[in-house]
Amino acid sequence: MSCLKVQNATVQIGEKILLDDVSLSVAPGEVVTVLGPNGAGKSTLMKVISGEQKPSSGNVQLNGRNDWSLQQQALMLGVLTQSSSLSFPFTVEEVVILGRIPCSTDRTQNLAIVEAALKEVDGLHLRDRRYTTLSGGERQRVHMARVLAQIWDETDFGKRYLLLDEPTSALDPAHQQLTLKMARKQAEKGVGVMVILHDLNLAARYSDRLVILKEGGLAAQGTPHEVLTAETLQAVFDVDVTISKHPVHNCPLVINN
Amino acid sequence: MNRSRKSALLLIVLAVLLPAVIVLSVGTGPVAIAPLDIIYILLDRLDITDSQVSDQTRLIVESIRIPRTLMGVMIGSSLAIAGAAMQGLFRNPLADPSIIGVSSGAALGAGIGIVLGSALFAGFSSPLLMDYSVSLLAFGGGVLTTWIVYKMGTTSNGTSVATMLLAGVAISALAGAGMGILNYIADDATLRSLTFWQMGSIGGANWNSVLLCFTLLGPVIFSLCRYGQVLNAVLLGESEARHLGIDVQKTKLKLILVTAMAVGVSVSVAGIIGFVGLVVPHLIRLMAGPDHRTLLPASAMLGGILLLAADMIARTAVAPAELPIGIVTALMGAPFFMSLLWQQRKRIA
Repeated sequence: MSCLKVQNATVQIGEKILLDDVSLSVAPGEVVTVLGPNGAGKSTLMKVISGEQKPSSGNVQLNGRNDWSLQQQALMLGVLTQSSSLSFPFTVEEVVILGRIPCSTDRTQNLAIVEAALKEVDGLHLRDRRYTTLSGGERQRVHMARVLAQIWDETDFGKRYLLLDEPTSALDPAHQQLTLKMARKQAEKGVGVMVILHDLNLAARYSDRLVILKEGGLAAQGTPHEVLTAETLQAVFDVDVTISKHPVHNCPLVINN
Repeated sequence: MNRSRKSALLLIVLAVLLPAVIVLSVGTGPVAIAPLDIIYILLDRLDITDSQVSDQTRLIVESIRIPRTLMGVMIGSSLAIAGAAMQGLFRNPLADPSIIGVSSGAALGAGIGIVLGSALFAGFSSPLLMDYSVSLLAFGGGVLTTWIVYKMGTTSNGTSVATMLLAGVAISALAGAGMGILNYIADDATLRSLTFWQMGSIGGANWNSVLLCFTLLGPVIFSLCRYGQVLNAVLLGESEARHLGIDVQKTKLKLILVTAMAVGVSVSVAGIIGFVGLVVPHLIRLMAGPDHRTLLPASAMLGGILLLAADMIARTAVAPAELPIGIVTALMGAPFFMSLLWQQRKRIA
């Protein structure tokens, strides 16, 4: 069955419950955004899905199975983490081509994919720059390109998914838009996208569905219209907002009071 | 010229340079021997030629210079490639095999062998065991400290590199104290050999130690060369490498074991030779960038070349006496390392 599915996942470390009985799924072709205050368990959820953190109970299935090898999983699931510790002077091209490690294409094909992936994130002009000389936002886009390059080709194992942990945190407004448009484009190609965001309006504008976490548990789940209500946002984020209608697009608009 | 061209060129240059330096090293010493004579001696052995090279020259080349040179190449290569692998694994360009405690543990083991060896092994009549007791204890000490440091850094969530680094510092301090005690209780003659051993030398090479180096270090160098792409991914971070389909935990364990082997064996046959593992990978990175697919084999070759160069200086600078090679590598390596830090400092400012 083609989807990314989390069933009753709980993560408990010592006394602390980081994730409390969370179930959700991401289907190919949709963009699901995870929202929640700091420490709500968003990144833990991401780690559980990527297999980095074993859940204390519950399970995760990727295209109906949970026994893929690491390499098979890497062909289906691209993960953008919040920060990378890379401190060696690779060129941007060398960094992006690392995304092709699990793939079995030759160098010429890989270079073509690297070029295309860099174009997607508006980073082609950075290709020969040293990674260590880039700004935070540029680095974030380079890693985005690396993850895109990783799941660039369709695979026989099943549908592909992207997990993006705050991909816009260091970006200027133009590149925030660009990144989410890119996520939508991937979804149109049949990739299931799950993205963690803090900007409610970006989430409303570009997501098919929203998932809101609070204190490790699922607080709300549904379309932007269903989830983004003044009451929910008050309860989860403790913010006072008015929900209006976007003047151009068919999505809610969150206005701070 | 782009980086992949540069890398290929560098590998070719090193592959040509290494045999040349080997021949030069066999020819260099208190008795200078012409490269052509060396080639004749080898061909004579294979019954291809029948030259007029004197028996004395033959003896020097076959039982002193060739073993010493071959051992130097193997040790230099192992130390350099182990350094490159550790710097990649720890994602820290200043890492060195000594930081995870291998060198100091091996040193302590050897120290125990030198100072207490005759007492410890008095019950054994085998002369072979006496000959190798220092080497065996050095190797054992290296592996044991690495294992302790690794265990201290490992929890059910994986191995923490930062904890390992700190544990390495602590273990090194402890081993240093142990060495201090050995220095304190040693008599004058033992103290002298202990001191010299700590400064490193490949002068003790014979065909037995060469065989040991080839059987133990050969596989180490070969297997480390295959970790290029894996280490490249690890530089991104451990989670990132895992997301690229690499079993990071297994990789770490293997690399730590192989490095302990490389350094433990090197220290056990040649004493402590510093800076090779630190400086050589840096030089290669300056020339060809940080890609481990080039860095690992190139470091191995350059490590061999530089150690032979240092050894040639060691045995000719104060001829007919010899300098300990550890002094030469420190004299060459430390200023280089300081200049690197100076450049980095400028870049940050």
